[in-house]
Amino acid sequence: MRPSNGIYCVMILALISAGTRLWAHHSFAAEYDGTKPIKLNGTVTKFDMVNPHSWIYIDVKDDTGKVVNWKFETASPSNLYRRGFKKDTIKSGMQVTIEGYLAKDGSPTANGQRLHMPDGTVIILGTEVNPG
Amino acid sequence: MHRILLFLMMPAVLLAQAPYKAPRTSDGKPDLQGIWIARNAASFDVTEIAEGRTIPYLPEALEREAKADRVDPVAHCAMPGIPRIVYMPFPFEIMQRPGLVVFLYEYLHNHRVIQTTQRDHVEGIDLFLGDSVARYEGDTLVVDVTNLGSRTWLDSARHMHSDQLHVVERYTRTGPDKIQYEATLEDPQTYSKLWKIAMTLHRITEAGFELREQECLEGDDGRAIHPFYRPASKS
Repeated sequence: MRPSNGIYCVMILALISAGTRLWAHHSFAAEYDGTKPIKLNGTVTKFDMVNPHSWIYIDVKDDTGKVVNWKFETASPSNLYRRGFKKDTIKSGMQVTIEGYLAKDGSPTANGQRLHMPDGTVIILGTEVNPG
Repeated sequence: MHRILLFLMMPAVLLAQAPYKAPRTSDGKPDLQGIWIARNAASFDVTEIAEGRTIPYLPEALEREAKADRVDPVAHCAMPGIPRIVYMPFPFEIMQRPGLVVFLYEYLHNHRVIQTTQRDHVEGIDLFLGDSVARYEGDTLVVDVTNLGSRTWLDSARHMHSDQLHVVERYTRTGPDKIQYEATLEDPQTYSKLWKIAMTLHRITEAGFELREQECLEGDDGRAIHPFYRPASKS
């Protein structure tokens, strides 16, 4: 016995009629440039410890004083958790330095590799595809 | 003759009087193993299986919800979370081993491998399927789930919860092909009191039935693509 076709139809229709926001995860090579390392210091504005990949957002001041919100893609929550990370390890307002690789699309986005905490601790952020 | 008659009547008498006693696993636990499915539409509206057909929302939770994202996370192929994965209209398999119970869900190849020895819940991490710890209470498997985050919905109808959600699931075999599923939902940031859902899980008795792959892919427009996955039966 299997679920009725009616239930499938309702489900498929519900799914098709739903959202349009792009929310996919992609491979490192498709998104990031392994030849363009970056190291930025800034103030944490948000930490999303979420599957498939966690994200750290920091406000970074450039040479002209303009503040840009950068986002760093990092490993999955379970990977970070096994490295001692918890969802409150990084809090808004914290001053951190993050090393990573720039996104190919020119946006203020990077693949996070190493996080320098305020107390000097260094945490590996690398995602499953770690070019290092 | 009298004795034979009595003997023949015994099963009927037992059925009428004694509650169903589930078969036991090798280590003496109630055997819940098999492939099961919820035959309802709770995944579209969980109030179908809610006690009193209502959810005791706090006013502030409704305000929070009004400002939140309006797209069902499942539409982006997100894992449905607990308890929604249990009533998604797809089969799942329960396997038991001493010290472990394994739930294999056909939907998005989700799984839970749950210890039946007590331990504290993990801290500081939210997961789509949360952190589950199980125990047996008589004929019932009790699964205590926390760390569910706030990203999942209870159904497509936007019934939601915060990261404080605490679900206690109870699986009780009530017949050869039936499990009574009950769960309590507690979330001090979303509900004014604990509330309950209850439904029957049905064993899939079709000969040779196996779990198949049920993938969800996102198209370039961010929409889920759920291909039909099982060929139509030949008749």
